[in-house]
Amino acid sequence: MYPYDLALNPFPSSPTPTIKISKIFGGKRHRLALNSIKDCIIDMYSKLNNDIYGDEELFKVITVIQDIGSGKTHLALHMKTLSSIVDKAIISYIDLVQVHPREINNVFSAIVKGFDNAYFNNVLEKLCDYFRRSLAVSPKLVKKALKHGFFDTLNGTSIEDKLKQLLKIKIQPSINHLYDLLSNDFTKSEIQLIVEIIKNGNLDGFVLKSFDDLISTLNNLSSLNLKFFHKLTIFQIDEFDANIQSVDYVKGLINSHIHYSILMLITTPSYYSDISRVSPSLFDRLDKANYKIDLAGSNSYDEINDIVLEYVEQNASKLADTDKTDLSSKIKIIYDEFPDFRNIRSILNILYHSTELSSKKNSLVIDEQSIEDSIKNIYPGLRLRGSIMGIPISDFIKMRKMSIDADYLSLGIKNAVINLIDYVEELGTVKKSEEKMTPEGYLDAIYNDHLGKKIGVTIAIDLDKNKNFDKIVKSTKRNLLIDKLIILTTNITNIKKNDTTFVTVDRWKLVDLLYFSKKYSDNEIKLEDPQKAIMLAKSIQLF
Amino acid sequence: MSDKDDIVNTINSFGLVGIKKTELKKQFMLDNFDALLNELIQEDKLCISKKGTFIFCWGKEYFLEYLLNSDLKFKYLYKDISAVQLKIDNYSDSIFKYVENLESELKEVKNSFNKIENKLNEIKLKSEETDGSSNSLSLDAFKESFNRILHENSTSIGWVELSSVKNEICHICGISENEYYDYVRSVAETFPEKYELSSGGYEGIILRGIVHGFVRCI
Repeated sequence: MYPYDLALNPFPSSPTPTIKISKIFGGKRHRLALNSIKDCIIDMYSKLNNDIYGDEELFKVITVIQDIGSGKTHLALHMKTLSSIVDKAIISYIDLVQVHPREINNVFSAIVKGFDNAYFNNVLEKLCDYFRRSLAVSPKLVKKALKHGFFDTLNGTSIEDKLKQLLKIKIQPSINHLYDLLSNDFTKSEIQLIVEIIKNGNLDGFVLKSFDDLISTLNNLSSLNLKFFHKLTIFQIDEFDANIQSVDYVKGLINSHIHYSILMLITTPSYYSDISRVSPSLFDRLDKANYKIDLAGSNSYDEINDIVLEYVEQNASKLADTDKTDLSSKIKIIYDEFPDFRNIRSILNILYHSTELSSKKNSLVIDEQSIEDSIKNIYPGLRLRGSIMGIPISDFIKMRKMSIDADYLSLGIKNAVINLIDYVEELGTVKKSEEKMTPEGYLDAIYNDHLGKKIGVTIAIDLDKNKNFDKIVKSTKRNLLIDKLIILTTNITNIKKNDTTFVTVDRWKLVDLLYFSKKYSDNEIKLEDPQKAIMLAKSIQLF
Repeated sequence: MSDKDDIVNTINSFGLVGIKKTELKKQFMLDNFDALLNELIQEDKLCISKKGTFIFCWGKEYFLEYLLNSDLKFKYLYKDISAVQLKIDNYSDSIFKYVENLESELKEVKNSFNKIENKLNEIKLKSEETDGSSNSLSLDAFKESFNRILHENSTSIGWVELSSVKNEICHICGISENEYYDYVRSVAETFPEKYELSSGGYEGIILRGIVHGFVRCI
């Protein structure tokens, strides 16, 4: 059993999305992007039957330009899983990285393979429907095209049987009669493609001699899709780069205005910038794309959190609000503390492994230790930036969660400073006070430094103290209790006062102090800790 | 004069010879004679000792002389002890001088230390002032300039190559190239909802081992 009562690990484990995974689609910004694409499709689809628009006008360019790992491919593949899109368009997804060398035939082959597996079978079925419809009008021509002769009638082989054989590529029709039959509705080039599909069941062996051939074939394919399915054709070109051949092909595709089609180009800002240098004219065309899909903020916390919850909710019968909050708080901590993981691919990767590890431990939630182990396994070189005590990531996550409570944090830091002073006194770095000094008023700790000066420490991380630095200073000075005052605050302050040191304590130091305090209280100080403790004390300017 | 003074004067008048206790008692027909004598002994003004079969009394100063003249062993022992005493005195003098020197040297060290401390404080203050001047560019100030330059240089989709605006921002903000990327990292990490970084380019910020050389304001 997996955490949150999940029957399986909901997070994808593959480095790039697959059609199956892409069925799950979350994130406000991703949904907005998808809606923009849908708008484009709906707009074009509505114009298909409108004679006002010429064929060349029914061509659109969509660009999706965003960083790697931000969900561009996922968005593209998700389109194939939506009936609202599939009802109106036939999509060919091409991963340009897999096309090498970038020759015309290779590009065409990639486009053809980019359609669904059932695509050519569907074309043949539509052709059969065409034969059936034509049977009433031109029965002789249909029979001749299907080579349905006297012996077939004698054997009891019907036209329907012939069509079934045609679907299974078991008969080769009469080409001449086929041309005659189809010529009323299809062009010669389109019929040529149909013949090729009838012969081989696909277009794998279709040889192109020039770029013009490629353009005209894509036009024909697009036209066939319209005539057979009454659908648009979407060419999704992923990983579009600044390779000179790719740039030329895409430029040609845009210039040729492939009828009834949408060219969707997916690339990164880096490649986009390269294209501007390699081919300013293409860049200019892309810059004027009909739809620029903006995934701005696709790596924001809200977006990532939304996507992660979508994965869980799609696989969980019911996700409790407490579980949602728990999971979101952990995502938030990973997001805040590890800027390296601020993209959906990285977070999903961590969560996949964390879920597996939590499952092995029969944990009801994705626990901190599993997250730490996952991060360690996936990114063995990763360290917490800015931590002096070398705090384990799991402890860090736990303490960051606890330190959200201001009262806990204030008390914890006070105890931590007292413990730290006691410890560095044990190490002999500061002098132990001869008399028992009790902190008074605003003072949280007092000690003697190595010069014998009496130092007072005030923890001013709660709101009231943060606002009352003057009050703290006046109060402690009036009592003449101390020679020097250290004020630890979470505020960034530029206040300068004689014999008063303001130390800004960031969140790493806060957690470092809490972590040290816990170790000290639990008698778990290890051999390497004294040096770290001294560094920590120095970092908050205790000496 | 009191009886005690009379007794002391009488005893001292006998010098080295001393006076028999019985004779003294006869001279001072006092009831508390023995008590007075004991008090004087305790006050260290006279000594009582046997001489032959009689008990004699001496003034304190004369008693030592008597012993030196009458007891040869004591005389030599006294001389030796005196020599030792002299040596000790000499040593203690030199020790005293040494301690005196040490004390003055310590004072000098202390003064030097105070001077060093003062100097260090001065240097610290100066460095703080220097840091203050070099870091006078707050993150907010950098952000403001950064936003403006990004706005002026962005493409239609908003992305800007970090290196392409580096020189301009460094010039405006008076910061080095390294500081520029530190500031960019800081603003991007502090305000993830306002900036987006993208991989690519020849220089930029390293995230997950990848150079992120593009940025845009969201």
